[in-house]
Amino acid sequence: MTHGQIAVSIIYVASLLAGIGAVLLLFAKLIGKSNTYGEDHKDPVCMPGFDVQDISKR
Amino acid sequence: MAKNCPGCGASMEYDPGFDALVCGSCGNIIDPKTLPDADSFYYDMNDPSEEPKSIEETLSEFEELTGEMYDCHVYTCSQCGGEVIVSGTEISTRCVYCGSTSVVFSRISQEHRPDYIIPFRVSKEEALTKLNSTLLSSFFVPRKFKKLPPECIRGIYIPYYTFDGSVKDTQQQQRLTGETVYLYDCRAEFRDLLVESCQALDDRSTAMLEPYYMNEAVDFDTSYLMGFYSNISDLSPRGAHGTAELKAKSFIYARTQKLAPHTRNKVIRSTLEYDLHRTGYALLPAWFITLDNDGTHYTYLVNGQTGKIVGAAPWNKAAVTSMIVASCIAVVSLLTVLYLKVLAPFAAEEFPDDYSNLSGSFVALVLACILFSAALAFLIRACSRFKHVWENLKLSRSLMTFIFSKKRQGGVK
Repeated sequence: MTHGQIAVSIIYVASLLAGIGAVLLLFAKLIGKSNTYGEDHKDPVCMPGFDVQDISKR
Repeated sequence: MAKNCPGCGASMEYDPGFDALVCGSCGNIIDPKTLPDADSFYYDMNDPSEEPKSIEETLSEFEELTGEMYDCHVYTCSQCGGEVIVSGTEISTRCVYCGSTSVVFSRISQEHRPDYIIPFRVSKEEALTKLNSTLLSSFFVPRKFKKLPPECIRGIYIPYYTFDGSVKDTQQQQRLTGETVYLYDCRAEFRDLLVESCQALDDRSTAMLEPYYMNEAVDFDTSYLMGFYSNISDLSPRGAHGTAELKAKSFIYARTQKLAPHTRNKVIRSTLEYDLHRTGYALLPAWFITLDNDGTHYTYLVNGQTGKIVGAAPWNKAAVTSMIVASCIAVVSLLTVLYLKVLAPFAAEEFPDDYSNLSGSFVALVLACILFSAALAFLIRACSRFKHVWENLKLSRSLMTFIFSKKRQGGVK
């Protein structure tokens, strides 16, 4: 086999991995729809004030 | 002790829809604030010549009889005379004989009496409807979960300490991929920072129930407990203070992580100065829904004030696994056909065995390696996302939360 033929075989294996990954991601998303644990947390209501100063350049 | 209807004498329960005590027998509706104070009512019901026994006296009598102590108290139901056993941390429970709500006044008086309470605003029916439409409507959820029995839901008041104050932090962050360092000086104000103070509950689940809006809290009154379960705090004020500091720190870190222009930073130094003080003790409402799926228990929490749902729906493993396998087989077959029909002939033509296209072969090999690395990274990311969903499902199966909730349904002995 030449390098080119090996390269095409590697591309085939890579596409298999990506395909299986896409299937898993799709199902994770579908199952995750029925899940509120993964929701992003907004700024808490108990922290009404937050002041910050960037002092990196001092 | 239950609060009885002045009209017919039946026990009354708090109804979130009416924001009042409702008599299940004659339909009488009474504003809790117009009823006499629960403690005075309790003492009025006793013989005035006889002093009510303190809990220590009751326990010492019990100790004399049995010779040993245990964290459990026996109370007589004011409704039917049956004896109700409650654990050391419960302040109200249902009578196991007649089902009326019994409130153990000795556990909510003096230092254990809460300062505030947020009454239930979301009714049992609303909580069940919301859970059904939000979490359990998915195609993958087992069919028996689509229709929830009414006995699976219990309203429970969770004890919280509230903290006010401020936290200062001088924080040094560094990019994960370089030497760039950022320095921030920040100050956060906290008002009614909530610290859940019931050790029997899983903190991760209850933390996700928040936010609770404390501006809707009212002065504590036992009327609001009627028809619900409740616990008193079993976390020491010192322990609660430590938890408040940890919580404040996590909020500040979450906020400062968004400040730097690069998302992948780590905190390499942090000088935190806490000035937090405890301001109160409150009971906050939550609906607990416990479901059983072939011996595995799932517990869902619904914020009794806002209706926010915490939980991950169970899924039909056989159906999901077979669909994943079938999809993978379809994808692999499609790609194999594509390889045999398109890529393999292309490779034979462009990169013949006589090595006449050596430079092109090398370029193709390098590109293939890059593509392979990207595909592998994508697969790892997909697997970790799937694992994350699986881990979240485990939170709904928290044994600690399940036992806490189930005990109030009389299911765990």
